[in-house]
Amino acid sequence: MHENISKSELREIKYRKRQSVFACINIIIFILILSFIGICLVLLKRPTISEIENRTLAEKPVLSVESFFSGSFTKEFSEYFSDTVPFREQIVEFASFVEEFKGINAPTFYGNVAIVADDEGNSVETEEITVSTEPVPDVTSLPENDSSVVTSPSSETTAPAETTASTTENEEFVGNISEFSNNGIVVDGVKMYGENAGVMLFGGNKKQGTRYAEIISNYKRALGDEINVYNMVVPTSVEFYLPKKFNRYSASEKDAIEHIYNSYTADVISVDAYSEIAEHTNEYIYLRTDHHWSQRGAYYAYKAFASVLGQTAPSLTEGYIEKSIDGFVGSLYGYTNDITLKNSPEVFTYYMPVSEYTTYYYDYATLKSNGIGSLFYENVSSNNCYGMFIGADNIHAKIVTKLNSGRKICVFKESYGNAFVPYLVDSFDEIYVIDIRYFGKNAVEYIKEKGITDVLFLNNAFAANTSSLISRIEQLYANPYGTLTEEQVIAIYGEPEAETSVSNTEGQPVTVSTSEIIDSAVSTES
Amino acid sequence: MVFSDLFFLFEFLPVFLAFYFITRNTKFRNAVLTVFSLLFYAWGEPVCIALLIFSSILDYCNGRFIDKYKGRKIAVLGVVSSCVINLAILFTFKYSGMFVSGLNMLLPFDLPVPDLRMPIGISFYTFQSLSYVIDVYRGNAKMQKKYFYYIMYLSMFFQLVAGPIVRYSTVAEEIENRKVRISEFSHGISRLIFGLGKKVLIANSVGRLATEFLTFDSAPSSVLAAWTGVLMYSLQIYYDFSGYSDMAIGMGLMCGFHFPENFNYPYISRSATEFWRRWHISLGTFFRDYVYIPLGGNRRHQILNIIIVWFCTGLWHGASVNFILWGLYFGVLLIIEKTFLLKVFDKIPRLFSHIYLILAVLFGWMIFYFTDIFQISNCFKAMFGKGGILLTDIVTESQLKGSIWLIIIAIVLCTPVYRLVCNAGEKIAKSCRFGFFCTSVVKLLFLLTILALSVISLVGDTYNPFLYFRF
Repeated sequence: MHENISKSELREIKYRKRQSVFACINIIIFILILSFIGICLVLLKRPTISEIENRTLAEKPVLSVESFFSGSFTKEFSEYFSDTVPFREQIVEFASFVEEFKGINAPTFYGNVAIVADDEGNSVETEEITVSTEPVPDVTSLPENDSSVVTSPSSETTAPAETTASTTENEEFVGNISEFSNNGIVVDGVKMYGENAGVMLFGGNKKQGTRYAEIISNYKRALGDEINVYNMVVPTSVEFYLPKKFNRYSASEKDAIEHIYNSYTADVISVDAYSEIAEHTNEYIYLRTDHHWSQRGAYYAYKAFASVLGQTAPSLTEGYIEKSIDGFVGSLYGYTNDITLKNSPEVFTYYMPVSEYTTYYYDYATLKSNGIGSLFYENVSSNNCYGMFIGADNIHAKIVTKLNSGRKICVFKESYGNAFVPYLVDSFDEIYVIDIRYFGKNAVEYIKEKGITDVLFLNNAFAANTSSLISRIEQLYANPYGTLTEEQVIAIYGEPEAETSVSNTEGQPVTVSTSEIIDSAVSTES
Repeated sequence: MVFSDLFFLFEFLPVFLAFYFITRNTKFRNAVLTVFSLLFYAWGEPVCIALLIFSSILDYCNGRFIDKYKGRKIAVLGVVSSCVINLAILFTFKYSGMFVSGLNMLLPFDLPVPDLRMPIGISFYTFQSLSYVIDVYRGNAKMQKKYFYYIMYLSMFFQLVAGPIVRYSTVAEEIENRKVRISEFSHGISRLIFGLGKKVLIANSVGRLATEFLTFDSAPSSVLAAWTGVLMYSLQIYYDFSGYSDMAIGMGLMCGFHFPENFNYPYISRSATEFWRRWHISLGTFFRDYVYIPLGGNRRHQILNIIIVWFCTGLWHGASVNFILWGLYFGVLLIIEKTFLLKVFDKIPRLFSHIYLILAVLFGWMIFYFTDIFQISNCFKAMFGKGGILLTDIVTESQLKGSIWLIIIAIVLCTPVYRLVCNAGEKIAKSCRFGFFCTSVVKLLFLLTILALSVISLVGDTYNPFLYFRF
């Protein structure tokens, strides 16, 4: 009995001893860790930008009496301290890797996802939420050179200006996306050509589709019988690559396109690019990490257009020189910051026509010449590849070919048209490219003045259902800015030297003016 | 500065500890603690620190006054002056905005609404200061002669910002005479890291989900979203607050203070009465000892007392009508329970009372979350599928799946499972040398993992994937 007690006492004493040894080790380990990390945080170099997030990190605040007592110094210092931790990029990347263990890898949606179709995939009528802020100006009531003209359009253009301002560095692609009537983005679980991809869910809006068809019909009526008006609405990747389980969240683009094609009120010629594209969905026709199609996808649209024109498109292997850029990660990543997209960069392939042609560039607002340039700006950085075609969106291009067919085309497009336009060099003598968002003249007058024989409206299904873009097409027809002087145009559009955001090889955003792009493009072309 | 901040954890705390442990001299340690506490507070409140210092001088003087006139009626003046002035300051900075805008609704003319920012921690230190004066008056605590010890008690950075409300009588002894044991320091550091993990790994993650499901501008998208949102918020508020208390208690232990526990697994309660004995214990007991019992407790007009106490408890949480509603909601629950419900619960299986409490708490937190009555009713309707909303939606489902393990861990850790595991571990550790070695290694690795993960997510915290997301 006595022995037993002393045994258990002995055990207790031993346990206490061990415990204090453990306590010492515990203390030493954690104090060392805290101090070591503390020293590292002070001594190591702090990053200033984040490539993953594409933003500048918080800056060290300046200490002053005012900043201290207002509390802004300490607040900003804390922000600076935790925002610019050394090895931030690696840690953030590791953190998002760890995050995945929180649950079952389920699809992540970005944006406000609404149900637009029932389970069978029939689209549900959705009410347009965003009301167009741009009233249709009455042409007849606008007296020429009236100063009131300046104020009224400038107030109308504030809306798009704000969008670009709020998106700062990602202006190039985010600006484009936010204009579309999209329904959020889904990334996880989406596969294209066997690899990770993202798609934008299509909201769809039949009412806007009807309006789009009507406005194009107006163009046809205004242009008369001699000028052919073609309309081509192209599907986007969501139509072919959205996993079935998400069908309820994306409306059918096929239906939306057919609806437009059935709603003309004049003799507009439809181009059925859908069927042609749908036959090639196992080819690389859409970009996986970007909201655009690839130039291969644009080729099939061109093939459909050529057959409407009564021509045969040259084959991709013979008529074009195929080139590619590695490591392209597009707008959907910039928009979602989803790591799976960043980790599956794609090869951006483009096709340069072998036919001879010359490209002239003009400023959109003033139509002042910017000289001769390259149709493909091949020096783009790997995350801005889609910006290589026809000087991206914000410059007006005219392409003159060696063909002698007597046909001149004017293309009204948004960014989907950029990859498409180069193919037209095999079909027309002259090609005028008008981005509906940036052109600042009366389009109908312009078409007549240039002796154009064919007009093509090329828009993706989102754009053709988006109120603000449709309103722009309407405005171009109604000529709200036709009577403005150059200064007034500048007041509305900003400086005519439209700036294009291009990135250098380090991935750091650099701003280059369009004239520089063209200069360097000219030098590389020679 | 908050505890879950890289600058605090890796710069402030190690430097403080280095100074604190230069000598064993308690006076020197007290000086270090006071200086660092004031620096800590000035970092967040460079101007309003004046209020803290004012309160400390006021109540230090009140303490001396009461002590001088001990046993005489005049001593009560010390308590009156402390209550009036402290509560007036609290009212001015915390409630004047709400009060004036409420008044404007009644008055035919509009008064300018004061736009005062509430100083950090004012609700906590005001109550601590009050407890000191009242305790000295009641004879529960000795008067503190040294002003510096008093301001140290009031400003101690462990509990200054978010509690627990440590009463003067609890730490009076340790202010002047305390020892830091190695085992307690070690235990404190473990507690600190565990609390950090609760806050950073669980509270922040479920909090992000809560804000996603419970938006202020629209009703929840489905029944599932409404319930999930409220559940996530309930988890968030528990882990956030109890994690913070853990860190405070842990740091207190590291410096030789023994603070009372603030949480005791509140979600395993079986009635609202029990819940409030387990949730934010230091606040509950404060109101019990300094408001409820002086009012007459359960001997005189108990129902009125309960209503007053719960009105105050609600109001204490913030200057908004929904907090008062939330407080009264619990007051009413308590009255119902006292009159008959507790007797009923004794007769039926325990499961029912658990379910009752969980539901009661969930609805409570929903009221707590939305500052707008309209939003509360919207969310309430959504929880019961009113207004033709869907039962479930894919966004909620996918979010839920995407964090399912974390949510399960969060729910499980609301129960004393962790404590049971620790007890089992202790048994193994006591059994033999090898057992001790194994449990020690597991414990260390566990804490190291929590620390590493917390730091990683604190760095990534500024990383916001929705940064550009503005349609």
